[in-house]
Parts: sequence; structure tokens; C-alpha cells
Amino acid sequence: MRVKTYNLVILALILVVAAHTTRAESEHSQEYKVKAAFLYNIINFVDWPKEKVTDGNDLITIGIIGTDPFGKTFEPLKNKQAKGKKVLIKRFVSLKESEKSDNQIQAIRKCHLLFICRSEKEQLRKIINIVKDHNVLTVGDMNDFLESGGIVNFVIENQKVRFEINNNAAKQAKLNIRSKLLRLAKKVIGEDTSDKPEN
Amino acid sequence: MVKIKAYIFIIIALSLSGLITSQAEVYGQHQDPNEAEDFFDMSIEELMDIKVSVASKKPESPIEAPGVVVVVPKNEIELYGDRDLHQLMQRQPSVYTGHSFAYSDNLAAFRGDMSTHQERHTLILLNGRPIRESALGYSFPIYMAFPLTSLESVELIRGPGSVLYGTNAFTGVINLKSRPVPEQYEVSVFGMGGSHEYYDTTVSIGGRSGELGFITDIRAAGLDGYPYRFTDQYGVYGDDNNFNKSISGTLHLDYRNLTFDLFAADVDIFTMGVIPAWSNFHHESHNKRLFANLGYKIPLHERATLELNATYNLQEDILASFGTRQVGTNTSDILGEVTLFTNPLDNLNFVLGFLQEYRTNYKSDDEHFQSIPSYHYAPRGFYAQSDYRLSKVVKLIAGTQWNKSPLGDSDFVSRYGVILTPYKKWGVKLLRGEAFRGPMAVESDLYDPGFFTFTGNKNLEPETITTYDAQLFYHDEKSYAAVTYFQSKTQGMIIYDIQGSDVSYTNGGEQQFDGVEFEAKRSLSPHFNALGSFMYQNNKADADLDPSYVPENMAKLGMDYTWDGGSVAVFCTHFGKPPSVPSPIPGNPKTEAVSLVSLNIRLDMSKWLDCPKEQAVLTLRAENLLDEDIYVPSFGQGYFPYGPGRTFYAGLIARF
Repeated sequence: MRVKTYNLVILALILVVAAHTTRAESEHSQEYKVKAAFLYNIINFVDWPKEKVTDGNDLITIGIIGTDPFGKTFEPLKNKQAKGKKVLIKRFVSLKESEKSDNQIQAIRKCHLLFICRSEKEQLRKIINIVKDHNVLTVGDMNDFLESGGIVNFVIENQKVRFEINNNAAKQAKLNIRSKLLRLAKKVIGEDTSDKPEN
Repeated sequence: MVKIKAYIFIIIALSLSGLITSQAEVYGQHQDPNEAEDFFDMSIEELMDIKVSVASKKPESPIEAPGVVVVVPKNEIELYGDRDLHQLMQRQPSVYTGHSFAYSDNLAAFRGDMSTHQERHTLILLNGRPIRESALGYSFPIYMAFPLTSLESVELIRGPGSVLYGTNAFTGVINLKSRPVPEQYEVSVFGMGGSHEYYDTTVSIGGRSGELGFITDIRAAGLDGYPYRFTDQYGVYGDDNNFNKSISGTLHLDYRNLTFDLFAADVDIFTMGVIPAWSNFHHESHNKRLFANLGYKIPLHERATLELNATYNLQEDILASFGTRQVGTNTSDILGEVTLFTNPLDNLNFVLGFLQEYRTNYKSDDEHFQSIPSYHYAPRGFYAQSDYRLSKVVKLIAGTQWNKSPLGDSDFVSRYGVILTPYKKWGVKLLRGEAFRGPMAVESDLYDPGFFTFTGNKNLEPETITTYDAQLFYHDEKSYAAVTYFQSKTQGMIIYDIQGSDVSYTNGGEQQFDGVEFEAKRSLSPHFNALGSFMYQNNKADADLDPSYVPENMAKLGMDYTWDGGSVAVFCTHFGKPPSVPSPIPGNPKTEAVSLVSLNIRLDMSKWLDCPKEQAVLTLRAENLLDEDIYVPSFGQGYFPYGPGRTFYAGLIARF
């Protein structure tokens, strides 16, 4: 068997890198930078009930529950506003951790938009059930998200980010999704009955 | 051109990466923006236009890919009106297309690599799975008959690909990617007719029923033939019709984590046979191909996916031999593969795989002499590849495959490289890759007695190639450009060993080719786009090898203009003059430089037919507008006519 020395060196290097790679400061993928920007944009195309947006806080809250794939991507939002309000990012480690405290569950319910990470896939239906009567726009990027009651799901098609909308779930959450967003969606479950003017 | 020894290449690569990393980290502290901030200023429509590299999957943008990659999207195929895969290849950077006297449209060679009339150095994949049979290794049925309507894009990788794809991924890999399953049922019918009684009818259907999605394309195409006239080596002048006809189809199914792909083709072509002589009784060849792949993805973890694939390739080929004889080869190959894709960290991707193949042939019911006696081979391989983003600026790639060839040899091939992106729009790729091509059964097991007796050689070793690529690239929202220096050295080329009337195969010497290629795409305005490429290459080979007959230079340029009601696209492919070859027949015209110009006009008939946009599109096409006479060289045989003169076509696609 002919074995070239440098080929063995390459194989050894691969194994060493795989086994002993330290957690260098990682650059979060472009995919999640784009998805973060989508979350910010989507806010402008959704109408919450009056009581949700006039609850005394001059804030729009984006919650992220699970293993956060966004990292520092949301930092530029410190200087930006959506719907005339500042944007606050709140992170929740997991549903399991959050259930240990009533305050945490209340904080999740107060979010205007809740991004449910893939690490919470097993808890997906439970999370949606917890927020279902609290006008929360649930967003995810996993299989069966809409079928589980989620409202907006990101998918990748031809290396570009697309989104699908469950308008039935949005109506159950008393959210109005504007027709422009519905038209841009790859798939919409439920009718477009938006009667609000466009942006 | 200067030879670069391996260790010098490694030193240069490491020095550059260290230097640029240190500079760029300083640069990074002062560097504007945070790319994420730019995204927050974009509208939803603009965000929908951004291509992302998905960390958990292998598919990557050409910028990030560890190879010299070109992606041809569906809209470009439609704009330029490629009628088959061979025409698509003819437009691509550094690809020389031609055909041999034995098979039509069978040659699509990358860079300087074409030293025989049997092209076995390009591997074609369908959705990442090899369409590859073990006896002959030809791709002409795919070039001719694969329905392009079934595709979303075609990816072309120039350079060695054996680390991930195994044998035959020698100087190029073509990955055909199916179009996505539509959510609503869609049917389209395409019909085209043209010169020399050309016809093409393709029906495309797709849709989803619950979790089962499917797309299928069925195509019938052919032409009565253009005049094929030349004087053979026995001094006989002949004239026949270079015809072809084919029925082919593809099927793609997906159901939850299962995928199934199928390609089938039945092709009849004109041929001069194993030796180009008008005295051969038969001048036609028949080829059947069947490819099927069943794939299953098992998500183990959000950062790890296991993929299982079972791939089947079948071929039945009948080729004209001497006198009244026709020879048949029939193969049936099964490949099982297990691949683990992981990204344990956001900046680290890792692929680990094992493959086991079973190759065999069989006797068909037809009464054709089976030129390859019964064989059974079981090659296997193990591979690993990793890419690691060391910093915002530096990405490292390394990979290796251990393989055991059909004849028992085993060896490693490797690839490694670095991709440097110190600036937002500029980058550098430095790559070194190896590939191999194991002997086909026709080279190791052939037995075809006759006036010439062809026998195989079971002592053959795989051909090997080592390629270095150094690429500087630029990209922004409207353009992409790259200039690449490449250098390749092949060893152990499998060549004919002719001893009187006995013809066998042996491993020959070395061939080297190096050169420079330039490619660019630019959106000049919202309606006007241009793309082009240029290649210069230099070739030399040991005395026992025929040198490559790829021209020293080639240039390609395309422009298209689109408006609401249609598009016009013009493409020019210029091949320089290939090297002269010794020819036993002085009378046939020699190959000269050629410029092949095509024009493709698409008109949306919706306004005239009062139907939704793009539901009916008329195509008007002209090829070889300059009416060039084309001849291709073949070592030891001389020059052969290739292609008709100027031709015209008209087609209509209707969508329901």
C-alpha cells in the first residue's frame, strides 16, 4: 500500500483540529445576521392589539428562547427604533430554566416577538401554548413550526432566506399581519383578511 | 511557467495567512461596519435577495467553497437557451467541447486536459450523487439527453474532486441540482423544432401532496442529422447523416427525510465505431442509462446530520465494431455511502464518510458480442474533510480520501487550502488538490478479438493528478470576477499499448498543464448583464503520451438584455487553434480557430394571449451565426467534422 506521508499528516491534522479545537471567538453566520434583520423588519408589518403596545413601556421586546444563534448580531438595534419605539432584546436560556420562575414566564409572555431556537424543538408546542393568549408573534426556523402553531417560519431556499406564515395562528393570537408581508411569504396558511392600510 | 514545489506552496500559504490575519485584525478594529448593521438598513425585499452560506450544510456560495466554482442558475440557462448540457458546458470558463468519431458530443474537458477521445476526467453528479458506470466511464448520454428543465442550477468545480467524490473527479465535477418541488401543482409543456429536422418535446410536472413532493421531466429529442463527410484512414470518402435521438426523464421525490432521484435515458446516435472506417457495416450506437439514488437524512443533533445513500447505475451500450460486428457492454453498479455532516462550532464544518461499491457486468438478451468478460469488483473508500474559519479573514480547508481501487491498489488523495477575505469585496484562494481515476473495466478486462485484438490489462494503476490553484476574486452586489493561476501534473495516464495488431492498455508517463483563467459576471443595469471568460494554457507531456489537444487559448462572452416582455441574449465562444496532430489522411480539413455565436430571443406571449405572465413564452434561436466549419482533432486519426453550420430553432413553452 502506497501511503504518501503528507496525506497522513493531513488526516492527523484534521483529527487534531476536530478533537481539540478551542472555542475561538466565533463569527456568527451570515444566515443569522440576515434573519435578525428580518425579525426587525417584520415588526413593522404586524399590528398588535392596542393593550399590548400601550402597556406603559416605550419598548418593542424581541425575546429569544433557547441556544442563541444570533450572538452579537442585534447590537446595532441599540440605536434603532421600530414602530416609533426602542427595541429591547431579551434572552431566555430555555423553557426548562424559565419554568423555575413565574417572573420568567411572565417576561416571555410580555414579548411582542418571540424567536424559538432549534434547541427548544422538543418544547415547541409547550412554548406556543404558554404564549398563545398573550399576543406574541412566534417565529422559528425549524421543520413543522407552523404545523405546531407557530406564526412565522424561516426557510432557506436556493441559499436565500424565505419565510412562511400561519395566518390562522396569527389571528388566534389577535395579531394582524399586513398583506404586503403575506404577499412576500413563500407560503401562507389561512386567508389574508388584513384590512389595515399598507405602510 | 515556474513549477511550485509543495513545501514552497505551504510556506507561502501559511505566511500569507499569518501576515494577513495580523494585518486584518488591526484593520478589523478600525473597519467599518459591522456587516449586521448594513442588513438592518435593508428592506425585506433586499434581504430576500441576499445569498447566505448555511453553517450546518455543505452547500456554500462560490466565494466560500473550497474549490474554483461556477454556478449556472436556471434563469441563465433559459436566457441563453442551452438546448442540452453539452451546450451549457461550451459556454463555461476553461471548458473545451468536442466529440470523437465514436460518440457524439462526448467531450467537455476542463482546462488543458484532453489527451484521448474518451473523456473520463469529468464526474457528473445529480444532487451530489455520482452518475458513473464502471465499464466505459462515458458521459455522452448525460450531455445529450439530460432534461435541463428539471434543474435549478448547475455547479461546475474546476480542479480535483476525488477527496469527496472519488474516481473520475479528476479535472472537473459537474453537479446537477434539481429544481425545488413547487407547493402547488404545476405542469409545463415545451416544444421546439429546428434545422435538420431537430425536435425537442419536454413535459414537466411537479407538486406536493401532504409531505410527498415530486418533480418529473420527460423529454423526447433528436435530429435527422447533418451531413458528416470525411476521408477515412483507408482512403475511402464517405457521407452519412450525423443523427441522434433520445428519450429521457428524471424524477425527484421527497418525503420527510427521504429523497429519491432517478435519471433514465435511451439514446441512439450516429458513430463511426471503434475504428473510424466507412467499411464498418454499422454506423449507429445505442446506449441506455439508468441512475437511481435513495437518500435518507437522520438529524442526530441540531449540529449533526447523518446521510445514508444507495446509488444504482446501469448501462447498456452497443457500439459498432469492425465489419458487421457490434459490441455490447452492460454494467450494473451499486454504491452504498454513509456521510456524517457536523458543525460542532459555528466556524467549523466537518464531513466524514465511508463508501462501498459493487461493480459487475452482465450479458444482455441482445445477440451482441460482449467485449468485456464477466467481472466483479468491490472498491471502497473512506473520506474526511474539514473547513475551519480561523477568523473573519481566514478560512482553512483540509481533506483526504483513502480508496481501494477495483484492482486492489489502495492510496490516499488529499486537498488543502486557505481562503483569505481581508476585505469585504476581495479575497484570495490558495488550494492544492489531488485526484485519481481508477481503470474502467474496458481498460482492465476487455477482450475483443478481430482484425485488431483489444485486450485489457489487470495490472493497471489509477491515474493521478495534483493541481495547485491560486485565485484572486472580487464580488459585490452587481458583479463577480476572478483570475486564477492553475498548475496540474498528471501521472500514470492510462494509454493504448499498440503492438502490431494487438492493442492493450498501460500506464504512461506524465503530463503537465498550467495556465491562467479569467472570468467575470456583471449586472450593467437592471436590464443589461454581461459575463465572460478567458483562458490561456500551456501543455507538455512525456514522449509516450499524446499531448492534449485543447487549444492554447479560448475566450467566451455573453450579453443579455431583459425587459418586461422578454429577453435577448447573445453568446460567443471562441476556441483558438488546437495543436496539429499527425494525420494518416491528408485530405481532411484541419482544425482552425472557431468563433461560435448564438442568439436567443424569448418573448412572453401573455399580453397577446391574455394570460398570466410567463405562462406562454416563445423562443427563437440561432446557432453558429458565422456559419463556421468545425473540425476536431483526434490523435492517430486526424480530423473529424463536428457540428452543422448555421442553424435555426423555434420553441414554445406553456405553463398550466
